[in-house]
Amino acid sequence: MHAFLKTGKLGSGGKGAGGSGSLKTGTGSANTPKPWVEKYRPKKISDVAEQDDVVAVLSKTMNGADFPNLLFYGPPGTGKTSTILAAARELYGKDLFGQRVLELNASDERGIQVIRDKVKNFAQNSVSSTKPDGSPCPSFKLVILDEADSMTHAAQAALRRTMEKSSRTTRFCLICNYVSRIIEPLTSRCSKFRFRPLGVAILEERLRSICNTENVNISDEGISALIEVSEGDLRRAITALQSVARLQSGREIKEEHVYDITGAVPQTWLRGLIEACASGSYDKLSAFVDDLMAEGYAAAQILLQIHDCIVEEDNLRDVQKAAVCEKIAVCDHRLLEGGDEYLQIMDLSCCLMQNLTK
Amino acid sequence: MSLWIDKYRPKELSKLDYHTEQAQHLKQLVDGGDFPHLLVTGPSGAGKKTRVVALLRQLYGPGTEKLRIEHQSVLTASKKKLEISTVASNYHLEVNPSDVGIHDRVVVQELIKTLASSHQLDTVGQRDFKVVVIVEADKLTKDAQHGLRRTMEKYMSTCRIILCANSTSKVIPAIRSRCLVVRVPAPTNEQIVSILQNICKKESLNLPIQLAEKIAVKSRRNLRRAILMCEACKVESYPFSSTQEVSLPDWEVFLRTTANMIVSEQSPNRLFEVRGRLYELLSHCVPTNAIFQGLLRELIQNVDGELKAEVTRLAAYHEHRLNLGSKAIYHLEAFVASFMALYKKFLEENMADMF
Amino acid sequence: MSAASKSKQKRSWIASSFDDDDFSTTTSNDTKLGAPTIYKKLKGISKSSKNPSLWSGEFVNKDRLAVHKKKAEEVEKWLINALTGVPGHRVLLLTGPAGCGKTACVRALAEDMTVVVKEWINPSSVYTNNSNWESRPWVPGDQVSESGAATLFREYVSRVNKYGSVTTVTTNPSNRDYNGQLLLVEDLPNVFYREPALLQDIIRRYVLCGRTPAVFIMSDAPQLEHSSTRLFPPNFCSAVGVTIIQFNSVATTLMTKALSEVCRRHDVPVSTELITCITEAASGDLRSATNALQFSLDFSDTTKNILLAPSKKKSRRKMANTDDISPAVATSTNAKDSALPLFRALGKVLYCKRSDSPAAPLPPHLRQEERAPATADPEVLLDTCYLTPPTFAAFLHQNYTPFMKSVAGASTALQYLCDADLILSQWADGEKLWSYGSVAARGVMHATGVDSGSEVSKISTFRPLVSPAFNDVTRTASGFLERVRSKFPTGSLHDLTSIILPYSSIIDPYKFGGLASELGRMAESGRVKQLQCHFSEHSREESVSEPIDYDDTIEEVSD
Repeated sequence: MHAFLKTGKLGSGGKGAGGSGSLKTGTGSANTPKPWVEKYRPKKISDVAEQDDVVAVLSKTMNGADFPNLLFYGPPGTGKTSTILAAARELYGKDLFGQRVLELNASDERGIQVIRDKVKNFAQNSVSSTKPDGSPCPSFKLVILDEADSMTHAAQAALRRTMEKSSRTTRFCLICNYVSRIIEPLTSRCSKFRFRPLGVAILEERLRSICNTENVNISDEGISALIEVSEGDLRRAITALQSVARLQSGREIKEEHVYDITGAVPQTWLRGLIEACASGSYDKLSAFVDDLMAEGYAAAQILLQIHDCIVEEDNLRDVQKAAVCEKIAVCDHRLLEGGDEYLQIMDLSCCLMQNLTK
Repeated sequence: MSLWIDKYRPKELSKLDYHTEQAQHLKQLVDGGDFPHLLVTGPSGAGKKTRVVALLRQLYGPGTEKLRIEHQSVLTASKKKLEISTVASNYHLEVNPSDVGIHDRVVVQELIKTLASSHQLDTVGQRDFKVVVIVEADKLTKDAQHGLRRTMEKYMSTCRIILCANSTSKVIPAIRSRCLVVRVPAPTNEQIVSILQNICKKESLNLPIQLAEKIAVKSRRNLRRAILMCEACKVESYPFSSTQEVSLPDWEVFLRTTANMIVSEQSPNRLFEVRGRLYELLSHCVPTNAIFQGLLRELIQNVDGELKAEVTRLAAYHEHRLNLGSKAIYHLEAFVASFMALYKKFLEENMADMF
Repeated sequence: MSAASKSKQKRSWIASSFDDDDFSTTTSNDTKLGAPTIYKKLKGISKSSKNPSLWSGEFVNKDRLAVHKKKAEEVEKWLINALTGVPGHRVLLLTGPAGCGKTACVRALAEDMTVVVKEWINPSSVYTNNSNWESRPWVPGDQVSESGAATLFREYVSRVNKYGSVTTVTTNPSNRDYNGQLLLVEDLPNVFYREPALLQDIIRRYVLCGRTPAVFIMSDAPQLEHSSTRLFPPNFCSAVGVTIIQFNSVATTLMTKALSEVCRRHDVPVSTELITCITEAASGDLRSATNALQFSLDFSDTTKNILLAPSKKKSRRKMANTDDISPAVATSTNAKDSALPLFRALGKVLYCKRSDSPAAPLPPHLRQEERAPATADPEVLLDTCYLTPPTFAAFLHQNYTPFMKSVAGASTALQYLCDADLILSQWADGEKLWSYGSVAARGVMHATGVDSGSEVSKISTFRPLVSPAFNDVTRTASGFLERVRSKFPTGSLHDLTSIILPYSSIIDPYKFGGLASELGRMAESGRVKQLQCHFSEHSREESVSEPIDYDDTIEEVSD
């Protein structure tokens, strides 16, 4: 829980999270810049974008119904943590929030011992059902386990017993990216809610509202580049926006700035690579790949983007596309295991060349 | 007397010769107040280290130039003592954890912890954080990177981390998302030529433009290599002549003759001799992927169009397996042997065609 | 006789708490008088191995030393010189294969000259951390100390010089006056193997100010890290003044004589065939030969059953039927780790004789993979050659090239060697996959058949087999790396070795010349330093007399 309060969510980019860092020249009080991901996190359940069924269940709970153990899963940046935090805040109010909510993150110690000690102790005490000011509040506590898929199986197994025994006093909310990584007994004890990747419209709307509040000057292509790069992940889009805004500090943000920040390879290079392959000359290809590597783009990123280009390439028959895609998979795997980037890109390009010139 | 690469390294962001726009952005970043974690990537010899050093100077002033080499020892959980050398100033610490192998996680965490817990003497104009520069961050083990992620969160207030890497592929996404990625592309040939000419002017040497261009091409857009080549040319023969030979590193020449040996004869005996040469290269710690790349470039020139793709495939295949295994020589030799087999078959087929 | 036996009995009731009187109980007096009676008595009690001593301890007597006379005289001369204070005789190093009589020689001579032998024994567990030793119960033999083994050693060595011993009076039965003392070090703390400089430092200081002569005994094991040349390099020894005496393994004649003597002394009849068998199997190691003899003649039923249990070894299988303990059993249990099985295993893989029966048919697209069945079984070979699979693969890799007829075969062989390397490098699973290391052997056997159709290859020329150069290369590389790092503490290694070093040595040969590689020079001359080492199987006598040193390099500089 301390981790959450101090540094915010993972992936926040550490942009001044935890607040220090202005020059101590005494010019002004530190206007500690908070990461925008934290600043614009939805504070109420109704603010959460696009996850209707979850919102419906949780709102019912606000009105006094009981809720089960929850399992939120889905791609990153779709609002899982925000939803449960907003719900908890609404349920308990600010004052009881600290007592009644225990949050454990993947960065905290979450081994089997911690599950046994900390979580069990927290879960065992029962709580009253009224707030100090008299308004009703649920009589259970909440344990939030973020990034539950990186818990070991042993820890997860230890958890399920605790979940059962303390079902009177505590509710658990597990958050993960892949539900397959959670063991069966746990998933059967929870209600699963899938968080969908966010659509383009909602992303655009959110981004524009943030830009307006923060006075960021951004072109339309910039916004669409942000959306393209984020792939449905709102957190990534907002952190990219913040980084590029900081780097540009006031000037207009165009799409090449966005590509630069996120490390995406510009389309010109990808087109150039495909043309070099189509030319059929090994020497030309070799020279081009040398230049491409000198630009400093990550080979894994190149593979990812060229895959999209290949799939839509008109000059290739389906069989050829399949062959090239298989080669992309092999090269990607080899890169992950430590292969040399130049050799793997050359290998892929040769395969592409063979298929394009047939 | 130091090498030109150290003597003429620009010390300030404003003095950088290329990618000046990016330098401007970095300056504004520093002046803007808060400073994020950085991940500086780019090919070798593009100027990453130079920019990091200049950035530090922008942050803290010329005090960062007073460096001292420290040898620190860290105790692992299994009571093994690890020695690591760091270069430090009063404001920052630079370390290369890839030397300690699989224990790099402990080293990194210890160093950052000690740095972060020591507070600055409070003087005006100081920042309230120190900087840790981690060189060769892509060689960190996954273990170390996960540990670094936690450390980055924990000590955010007193410590900023600058990572230098050749490529972001081997950096886990969690770290990439916590850092601002600064990509430093390699300089173009023209930029290299102008830098070489500047240096020679400062050394009061006369550098003909053709020689400068030749050096730029041979350096393959690696500025460090270009400057070293230039200095070596000066030592070999001055006054410069435009037709002067630019010498390649000795291992590259060695590799070239090895490639010629491979192409000239394909037999098990020749394979054995090539193995001896490969052993020589390995005992001089020439990196194995450089050996593969060098061999590939040389061998490709001797084969025909169709075969080029096949040879590339072999190189990629064997290089990948080399990283998984423990004995590099097997895989290097396997590549050479497969090439020989391929080439021999190709020659025999051509001979058959001729008759 | 009764008094002697009574005193002996007294001694045997009181268990000695100091261990080093083993040898004093088996000196010539006792065995000549009492041994037959004791032995007979015990034989009556039970046939289990309750002998009070190992026969190998009996050689610690000057008259019965089984080492070469000249060597013993050399050591004796040195000892006399050292004890009388002749300068330059402070530290002695005895090297030689295991079981060739080094320790026996020193102890026997010391006994003869009435010199106390102070021996350094590695403490069984040294606690360097305060918090550890409080929680663990103390076990006899433990040493609780706050410093590491190296410091303890240094202190012991300096104490030996200064102080006499408390224990000599009580364990010395005849209360003789001692003529001096001698420091014996056989068992060195492990830290010295990692950092020989520490030991060399201690020795240097000892030579300057020590008064007691010190004898270091080191076995020349064929393993790399424990070789005596690493701890006592020759130039260090000559600079500091350490005398080196090298023992050879015990010659067969001497061994046979010694073994028969022991048997005669113990009044046990033994066939000469058994003795010759044991001598051959022991290959110069007297200790193991004596043990083999003692235990082969001293069987209880249980040990017999264990030895005759069915196993893969062919010799044991043969023994399952007979009830007689034949020499083969004795040798199979005690045969030394010699180089022969390795050599044979390599030969079987590389020469790969195939039987004449037809090859198992394969579908048409795999026709070129057809081979006649081989006569050797790779998995069995791997088991019998005492080597770990990675080392076996390394040997194959070093030696396979002359046996391939073309590069296609070499390429196939290498493919399998690489596969084996990947399998054997899976350290995450420990060594569970090591049983699949026979992939290398099978692959090479298969590859010998490439390009030869189905005819058996007739290679009759003798080809010497060479041990792998890989370890050597790794060592050189790590040495090089250390030197580089001492000059450039930080900085990417990749850039250093590939770009910075080659040029900096051109630019500034003074400063960086030491790291320059001769690659460039070699590239021009076109020739390469040959790394070679030989061992061949001519006659066993030869291989016995030269210690087989796996890291022996004869560098032939081709200039």
